[in-house]
Amino acid sequence: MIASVFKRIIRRPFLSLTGLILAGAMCFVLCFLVRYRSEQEAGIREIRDSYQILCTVTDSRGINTQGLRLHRRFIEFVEDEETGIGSYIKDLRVTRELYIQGIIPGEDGPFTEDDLEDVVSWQYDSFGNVTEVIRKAEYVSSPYTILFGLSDPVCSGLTDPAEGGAYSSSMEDFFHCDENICLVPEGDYEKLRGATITFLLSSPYTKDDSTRNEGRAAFTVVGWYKGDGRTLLVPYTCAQRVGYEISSTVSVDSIAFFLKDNTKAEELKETAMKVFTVPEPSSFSSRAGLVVKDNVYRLTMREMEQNIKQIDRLIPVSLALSLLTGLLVGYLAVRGETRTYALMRTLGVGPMRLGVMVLAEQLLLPALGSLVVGLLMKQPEPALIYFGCHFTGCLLAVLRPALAAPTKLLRTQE
Amino acid sequence: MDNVLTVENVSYSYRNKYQTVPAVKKADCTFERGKAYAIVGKSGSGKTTLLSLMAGLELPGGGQILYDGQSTKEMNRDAYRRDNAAVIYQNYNLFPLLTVMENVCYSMKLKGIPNKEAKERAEKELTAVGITPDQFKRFPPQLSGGEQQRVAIARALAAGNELILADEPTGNLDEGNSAQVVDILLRLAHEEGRCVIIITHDPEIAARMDAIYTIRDGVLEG
Ligand SMILES: Nc1ncnc2c1ncn2[C@@H]1O[C@H](COP(=O)(O)OP(=O)(O)O)[C@@H](O)[C@H]1O
Ligand SMILES: [Mg+2]
Repeated sequence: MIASVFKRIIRRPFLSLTGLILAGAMCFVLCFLVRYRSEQEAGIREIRDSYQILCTVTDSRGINTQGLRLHRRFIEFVEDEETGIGSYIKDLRVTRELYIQGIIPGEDGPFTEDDLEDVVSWQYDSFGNVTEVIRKAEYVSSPYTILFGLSDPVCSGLTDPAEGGAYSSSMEDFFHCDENICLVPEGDYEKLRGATITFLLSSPYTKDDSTRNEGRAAFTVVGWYKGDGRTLLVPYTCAQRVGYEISSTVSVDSIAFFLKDNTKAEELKETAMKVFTVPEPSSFSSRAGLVVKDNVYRLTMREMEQNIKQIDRLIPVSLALSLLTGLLVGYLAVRGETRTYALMRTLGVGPMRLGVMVLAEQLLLPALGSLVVGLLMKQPEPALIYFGCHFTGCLLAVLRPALAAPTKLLRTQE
Repeated sequence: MDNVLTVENVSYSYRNKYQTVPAVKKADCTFERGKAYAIVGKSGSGKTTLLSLMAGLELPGGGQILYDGQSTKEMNRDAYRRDNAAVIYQNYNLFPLLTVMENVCYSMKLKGIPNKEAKERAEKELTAVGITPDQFKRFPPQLSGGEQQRVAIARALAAGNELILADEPTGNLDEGNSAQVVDILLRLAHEEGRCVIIITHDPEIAARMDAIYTIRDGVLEG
C-alpha cells in the first residue's frame, strides 16, 4: 500500500513537484524575511553598541577645536554628572596650554648659575643662534614656548600614533599622572633625561583675564615625543593645577569626548545646550559650540530601522499568503483526487486508513520541501507553519471521501 | 437452501435540497451460493441503486439487506466490501495512475495477500478475460473501453470474494468477449460456489443465468 502511495506521487511529477517547490518557496520567503529582520536588528544593536559618536567643543563658528581658551566652567559642566553632561560621556579628552616665559636657573637639576653657559650653548645647538635675551635678571630665555597639557595621547598629533606621532615615557601612565613631569622633543632627550627644569609660566592672555599672572613650576623630564617643536608635553591635570595658580578663569583649550550610550544622543544635546551652542558659521557669539558627530550614525540607524519597518509590514502579508496557499493547495490537491479516494473506499479501504494514505501521499513532498528549507535556513517555525496549513487543508478535504458514502462521490464526479 | 444475501422489503430514495427521488421502492429477493442471477429492468428503474445497496456502499432507507444473516447496517461495511462483496462497475472505476497489473493487485493487497501470489492470480485472471501480457504495464486510459471493462472484471474476480456484483459487465464487450466473460462468471458460481449477481440488458445473457429478477420502476419481487 505504501508502494502505491509512492507510485501515485511519482506518476504525477508536475503536481508533486509543484507541491514540493511551493512549500519550499513559501518557507524560504518566510525564513528569509524573519532572518533578514533579525540580521537588521543585530546590525542595529551592533552599531548602537560599538559606533563611537565623537563630540567636539568648538568656537561658536565650529571652526577651531584647539586653543579655545575656555572658562573653567565649561570643563566643570562637561564633567558634572548631576547638572552637566558627565553622565552621558566617556573618554573625555582635554588639553590646556600655558606659555613658557623662560627658564629659571639654579633651582634644581643641571640649571645652576654655573650651568648657564651650558644652557646657552645648548640653545645655540638647538636653534642655531645664541639667545641673548635675558628678559629678567633671574631667568633666561627658554628654547620652549608652550607647555601643553594633555589628558590622552590622541589629543595631539605629536603623540597620537594614528597621526604618525610617538612618545616614550618612564612613567607608565604619563597622561594620567598628577606629578610635574614632562616630555621633551626627541632630539633634546639625551641631554635632558631625568633633569628638573624650572620654568616661568604665564597663561595665554585673554580679554577676560585681566589678572594676568606669572608663576613658576618645576618639571622633571621623563620621556620624549617624536618631533622637534618648541612645546613641552605635560599631563593635563598637572597643567591644570599649575595653570590655576596663574589664572583662575581660563582653564581649558580643547574638549572632546565620546557618547557613553548612543541612544542618549538627543538627551545629551538638549542638556548641553544649557551651556554650549550649535555652531553657526556666521556666528559672532563668544559661546562655545558643541559638535556631535552623529550624522552617519543617525542615517545608518534610520535606514536599518526603516528596513525593519518594511519587513514588519511584509511578514504578516507573506505569512497570511503562505497560510492561505498552504490551506488552499492542500485542500485542492486532495479535492482533485476525490474520485480516486472514493474508489479506494468502494474497494474496502476504511476511513482511517484512507486518511493516513491520503495524507501520506499529499504531504510527503510538501513536508520534504519545508523540511529542507527549514534545515537549510535553520528555522523550523515557517516550515511548521506552512506544513501545518497544508496538512489542515488536506485534512479538511479528506473528510469528505473518508466519511461520505463513496457512491455519492463517484456519481457527482461523472 | 444456502442463502448468502437476503433483500428484505428494501427501499431507497435519493434526497437533495429540492427533491426526493424514490429510486428503489420495494425490493424483496434472496440469493444463494453457487448460483448466478440476472437483474433486468428498464433504464432508470433502480438497478444500479439496488446493487450499491447490496454492495454495502449505501444503506437502505427502509427494510434491510442481510449478508449471512447480518444486516449491512450493523456490519463493518468496509471489511464487507473488502472481503465479501466485489463490485464490477458500469464505468469500470479503475485507478488511472496505476497500471493494469497494479489495479488488479490493489484489492488483493488490501486483503493482505502477498505480492507474489497476488501477481500470479492477477496474471491468471487477466489472461482469462483476454488481456494480453503486453497490456499489463499499461495505464487504464491507454486501453479501450472494452479492455478496461475486462480489467475491472479481472480485479473483482482476483480478489476471490464470495459475492460478485456486476453492473452491466458486458455492456462494452463484443460478442466473443462477452460470452467468454459470462462463461467465467457462471463457472465461478457453479464450480467455486460463489454467488454472482449481474445487471444486464441482454436477454440472451440473462437467459443463461440460473434465475432472473425483474425490477420495474423501483419494485422488485422475487
Ligand atoms: N444521485 C442521484 N440523485 C437523484 N436521483 C438519482 C441519483 N442517482 C440516480 N437517481 C435516480 O434514481 C433512479 C434510479 O437510478 P439507477 O439506479 O441508476 O437506475 P438504473 O441503473 O436502473 O438505470 C433514476 O430515476 C435516477 O434518475
Ligand atoms: Mg445503471
